[in-house]
Amino acid sequence: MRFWKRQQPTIDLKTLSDVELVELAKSDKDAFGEIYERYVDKIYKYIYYRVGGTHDAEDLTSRVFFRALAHVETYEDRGIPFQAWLYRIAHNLVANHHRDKGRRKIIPLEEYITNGMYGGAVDGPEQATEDAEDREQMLIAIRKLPDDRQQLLLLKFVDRLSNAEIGEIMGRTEGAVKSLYHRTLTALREELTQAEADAASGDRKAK
Amino acid sequence: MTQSDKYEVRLKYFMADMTEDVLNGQDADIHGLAIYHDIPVQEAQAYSGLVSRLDSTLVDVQPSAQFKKQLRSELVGEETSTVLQRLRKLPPRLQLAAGIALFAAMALLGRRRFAGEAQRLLGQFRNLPQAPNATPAEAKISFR
Repeated sequence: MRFWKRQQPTIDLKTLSDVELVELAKSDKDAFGEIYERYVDKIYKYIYYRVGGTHDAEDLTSRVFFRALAHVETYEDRGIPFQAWLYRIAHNLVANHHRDKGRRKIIPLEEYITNGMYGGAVDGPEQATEDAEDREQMLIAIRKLPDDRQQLLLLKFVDRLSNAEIGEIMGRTEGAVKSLYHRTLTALREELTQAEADAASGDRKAK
Repeated sequence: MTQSDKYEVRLKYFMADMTEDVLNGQDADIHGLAIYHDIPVQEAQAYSGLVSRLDSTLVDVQPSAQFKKQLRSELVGEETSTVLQRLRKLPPRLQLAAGIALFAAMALLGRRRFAGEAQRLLGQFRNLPQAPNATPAEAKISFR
């Protein structure tokens, strides 16, 4: 054997699966750093929409990863993939956050506009405001949904996860996720129809 | 299963297929999907509009680069960046090649430095006044 082959081969962390990476992360901080790079954006997005602001989203994202770092040694893949485990930590911290604050903050319209979250090409400031109002109406309707339905919409539309991945995070089968999605869209449609009817009757009263 | 239940099941599969098309950035063929799943076209269009609104409302957000860097640093420390640590991450053969190149460079530098020093000493030696009874060998020793 040639002498340079006696050295341990260098591991490219980016090529490792989650399972291999988590095993390595129990004793190697660089491996945890790779896990962090892999999931920080996803977890942040999820939390951002659940709490409705940059400051709280950053605070809770930090807590998720510190908690994960503290408990990664005890993590074992018992049917719950690591991604699902991280989302469950995030979900629990968001639930605690709402319970402690006793409120559900809505992303202010100003932040929605200044952050450029209205997206797409717009014809002018009036159109931008109209689009942002339309989206805020949607956000209000989403936040009136039960917790599990909100979670489903965020995992599907913001994090772009498949029904199978969502099922792993939420502890449901893929079929159950499809059924929940069906009920969620039906409820959301009713909520928006009701909100538009209320707005129209409000306009008539104002006149 | 009642007719209503069957309709709800068809609607559920229509929603799943249509949403997948929207999320994949494809123009969903609502008319075709409605016929395939046996859903009224008007109903299919209403749900398609709702999903498009959801897609444009729940837009992508990113944490700031500064926040990400700071949090990473707090979690696992700064990223390794010294030359030695970078060398260690190279494949073994490259490490060996880098080692040889480094040794060769050091040897070359050392040789040039030594050659320059020897030249200087030789010059000094030639300029020394010769002792009357000293042999050249003794002169070298006394110089040392």
